[in-house]
Amino acid sequence: MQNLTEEILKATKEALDDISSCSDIQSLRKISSVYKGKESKLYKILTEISKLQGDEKKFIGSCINESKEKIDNVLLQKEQELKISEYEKEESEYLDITLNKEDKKLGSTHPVTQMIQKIVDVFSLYGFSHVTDREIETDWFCFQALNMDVDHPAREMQDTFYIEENHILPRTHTSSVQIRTMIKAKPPIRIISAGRVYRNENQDARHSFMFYQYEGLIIDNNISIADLKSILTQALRKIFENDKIDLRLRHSYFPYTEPSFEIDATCMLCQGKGCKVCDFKGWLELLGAGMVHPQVLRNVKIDPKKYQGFAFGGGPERLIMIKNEINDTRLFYENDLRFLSQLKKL
Amino acid sequence: MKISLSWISKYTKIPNTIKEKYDLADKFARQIADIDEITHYGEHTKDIVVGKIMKIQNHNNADKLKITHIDIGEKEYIQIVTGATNIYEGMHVPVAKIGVTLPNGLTIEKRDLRGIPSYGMLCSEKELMLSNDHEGIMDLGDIKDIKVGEYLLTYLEDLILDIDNKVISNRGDLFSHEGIAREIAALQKTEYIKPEIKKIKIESEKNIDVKIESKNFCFRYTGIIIKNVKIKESPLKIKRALERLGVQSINNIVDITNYIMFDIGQPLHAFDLDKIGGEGTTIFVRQAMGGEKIKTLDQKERILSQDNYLIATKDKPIAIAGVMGGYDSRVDENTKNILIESATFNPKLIRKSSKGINLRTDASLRYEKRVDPNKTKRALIEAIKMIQNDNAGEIASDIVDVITIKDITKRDTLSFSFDRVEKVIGIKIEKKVVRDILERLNFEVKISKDNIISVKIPTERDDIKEDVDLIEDIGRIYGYDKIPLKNPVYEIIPRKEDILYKTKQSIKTIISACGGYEIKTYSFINEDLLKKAMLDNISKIKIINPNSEDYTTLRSSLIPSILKTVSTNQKNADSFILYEIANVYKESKGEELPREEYELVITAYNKKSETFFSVKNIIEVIKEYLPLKGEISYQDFLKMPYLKNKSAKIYFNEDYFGDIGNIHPEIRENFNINGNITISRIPVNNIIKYLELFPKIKPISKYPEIKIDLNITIDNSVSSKSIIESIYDENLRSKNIVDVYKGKPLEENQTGLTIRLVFENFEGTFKTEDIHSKINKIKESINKKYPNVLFR
Repeated sequence: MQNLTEEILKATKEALDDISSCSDIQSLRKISSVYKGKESKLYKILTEISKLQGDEKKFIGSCINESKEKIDNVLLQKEQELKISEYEKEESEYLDITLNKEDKKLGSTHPVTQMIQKIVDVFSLYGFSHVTDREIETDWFCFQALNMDVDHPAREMQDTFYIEENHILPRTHTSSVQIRTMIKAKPPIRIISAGRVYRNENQDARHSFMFYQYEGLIIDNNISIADLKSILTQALRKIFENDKIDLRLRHSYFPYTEPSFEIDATCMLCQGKGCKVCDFKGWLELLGAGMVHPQVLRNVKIDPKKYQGFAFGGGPERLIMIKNEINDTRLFYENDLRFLSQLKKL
Repeated sequence: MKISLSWISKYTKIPNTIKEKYDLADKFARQIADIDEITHYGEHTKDIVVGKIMKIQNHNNADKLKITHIDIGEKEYIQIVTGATNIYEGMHVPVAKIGVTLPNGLTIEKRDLRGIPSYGMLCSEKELMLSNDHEGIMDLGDIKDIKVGEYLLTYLEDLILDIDNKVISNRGDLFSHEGIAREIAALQKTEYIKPEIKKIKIESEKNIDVKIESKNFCFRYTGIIIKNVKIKESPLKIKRALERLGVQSINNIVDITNYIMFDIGQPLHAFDLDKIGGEGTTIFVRQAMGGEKIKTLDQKERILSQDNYLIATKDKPIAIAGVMGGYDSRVDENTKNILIESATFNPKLIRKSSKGINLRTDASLRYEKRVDPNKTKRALIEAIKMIQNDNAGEIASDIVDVITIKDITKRDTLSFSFDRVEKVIGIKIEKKVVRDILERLNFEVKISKDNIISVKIPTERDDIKEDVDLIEDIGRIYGYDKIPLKNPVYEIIPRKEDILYKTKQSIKTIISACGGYEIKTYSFINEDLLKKAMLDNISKIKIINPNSEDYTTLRSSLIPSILKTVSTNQKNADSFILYEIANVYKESKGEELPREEYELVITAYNKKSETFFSVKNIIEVIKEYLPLKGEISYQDFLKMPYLKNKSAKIYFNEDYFGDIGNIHPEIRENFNINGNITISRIPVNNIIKYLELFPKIKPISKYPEIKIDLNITIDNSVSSKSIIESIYDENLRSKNIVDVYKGKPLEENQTGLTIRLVFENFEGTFKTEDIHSKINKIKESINKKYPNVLFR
């Protein structure tokens, strides 16, 4: 019995020494599993208790329990200590969180892509479907069907590139999409389209021989100028996220619409007070629009007595330029990443 | 085209204050025609007053100086010493008093000029920035009821509106002050004083012989001979009116023809009769013969084609009809007798003629837009009257008047239901308002009891062809600002999805999320660029009228443009990924139009490291994200512009899908690209073909999965992809290469691969033996196909 008590004391001391010399959580967990497991000395002593009788059995049993309890307590205490010191260690480590150690991984879509997406999204709320159509067109789709006969000034060589003289050409506007759509579909029609257009103009800060246009068309029984004004006002307010924008319809002339308008919006940079961007007018010319000319409808076999509607178009670059006070349209097609990489929204 | 508001006041009331004038211009720009530029005429004369020269004395100490005594409405005359030569006693002049600052910055002070004090300055038009070419003191003799001491601005102030011609390009009637005035009167609801149709008594019975050979070109030709013409300076009033529009005064005759053109819109031309064969000459209006020559008023020798039309005598051309007169028949200081021509020509043929010789004039501009033949004779009579009033010549013939078209005075009538107005504009406008607007615009209006409007169209309004043309006039004069906002009311029709657009947008989002920057390059390139990219044998569609040597061809590949973009960006960044989705254009046999196909090109550039896998990875991500249904594989090698051993055709399932490869060093050199560059090209339609519209997901087993790493060594005869493909087991959930090793102890041509196999069992937990036998079977099947593969 004397032996057993000594062995218990010895085993306990061993365990307590091991625990106190332990300096990290992992080794503590190992030690803990050793002293709690079936291979531990105390467990072995416990298996021998069965050989003992009466008080002796009771005494040794209580000695073992006492030791176990002691070890458990010390273990718990040690674990607590070690955890705290580890937390403290990690907490004391300095990390310069302002550094960017890894390469940024995000690219960007082109600003024109982003603006077109915004326009398409807004008009989709009004039930306008996006359509994609040809860039290289025949004279008929680009001009004649749009009420621009052979002698119309807009067709003069200085404006249009030709692939075959007076016949095949890169479209000068997206209005050809109106014709392609109306030839295929029956009213009601609500479409929005965007894409590249080409004009034979010299390149400068305000002109590019290639640029983008967006184009909308709605044909139904009762679409009036009041609808044109209302839908475009609501849409532009959404595009610019500014409910204070009002539109002003300015009389204009396009062969394919009658009446025709240039549409001015309240300058969103100065809220109409007048600033450099709006040339101190308080208004910005944003798009062209008008009621589709009855002759255009007849050209695509839609009865102008039954159906009417409006079309509108503009340049996404201009909207971006206004929003960002950019004044050189060439930036969009020079593809300098220092310019393109700024707008991230995907 | 420039319009002077004070000229307009000849026809209708114009507001007095400058602010009201600007307000009118603002309304004008919205309801009549856009204005390119507004000039505030006289704004620099703010402090200048009107003075009258009461007395002129010589200066004793200076021959060139004069001492003047000027009445400026003050108690005493002021004394001003001047060097001017055009002054006379009784002359009204602009005076800058002491303290006044002139437009050039000079402030007037009291000065002593050779011993005589001077208390101000008499001003020239140039000094007041009213005109460019007048050195002498401005003579205010033309101003009616002028008062000394008044500000000069009271008499001079004007707004000059430079109107955007495009907006009125279908409105020939608006290329005149009388036409614009009618619109302004309708806008302001002010009275419009109709131009007077003047009568003239002609006693001469002499006829002018006019032969119109091109009847489709010349609609009406009127003319008259004036003899004993006195060529002199124009009256101040006319000179000043023209100057405001930026037109230089030439002489009284030429100025009268110009004045009437701006006033009425009818171009006139005066020939020196003695230079075109004198009395009894015959005037021909005919098509030019190819190669015919004429020296025009601008002293340029013009070589003509059959697109041009001429006014000619029987032996030579004397004017390019409707465009510009001939230099040799011009009116000059020695002219004694003249022929004045007032004619109307075919607008389309005038455009062709003026375009053909690249010469646009104020006359051709008006003819292009159409001049109403009813104005022709009226304008001629106006010219005769003005010459008579100026005592500048005598009538020496009857008016010749040849008309080649029928019924020039006939007016069409257009009828439509009143409801149409509301249906198009979207609001109700009262009948009497509609009637008032139309009548002010010179239409004759009847509205019947059953609401039918009948409108008689004046001859100058050939732009009115159907009801909407009139509704436009009603709408704009009524004012679109009065239309309230509303919510649209229409049937809901579900939108149709544009798969192409949607896919393009998704691809852009994915690549950008992977670090790619979208670029947009021009659709036109040149052959040089194609050659630099070694793509010179692909199809070329040419622009027949390019405006730059750099952009002559529709591109059939995006690669040259993207290489150019890499080249320009490499100086600012060490590595980047670029992509573009755009059309390429290809000839299509038997089709009218070229084929257009959207292509995706992705490129990765890195100054130091390999770029191939950045691009390949993006393709794999696109496949997973869209997603595409099937398997991508890489086979064969590519030719130029790719580097043979570092390139492949991409296959999707069994079909060709696109290309990927590193760019050949020679091409990198051509584009000055220093570094690694990989390009992949995929037609967007190939991607759309495999879109998986309803991607599926599988459940996962609740029993533990087993991961086994297979370490193998392969040589260059086998691709890692084919090894992966040869691995099959029904319980295999995934098989991926997790590590690639090259180097010792492996031979040079060997590669070590670690393939992680994940087994999954829905029935129960795997037994160790099962896994062992599965692995063995897999090894066997690999070895059967690829005996050289070693297992470690």
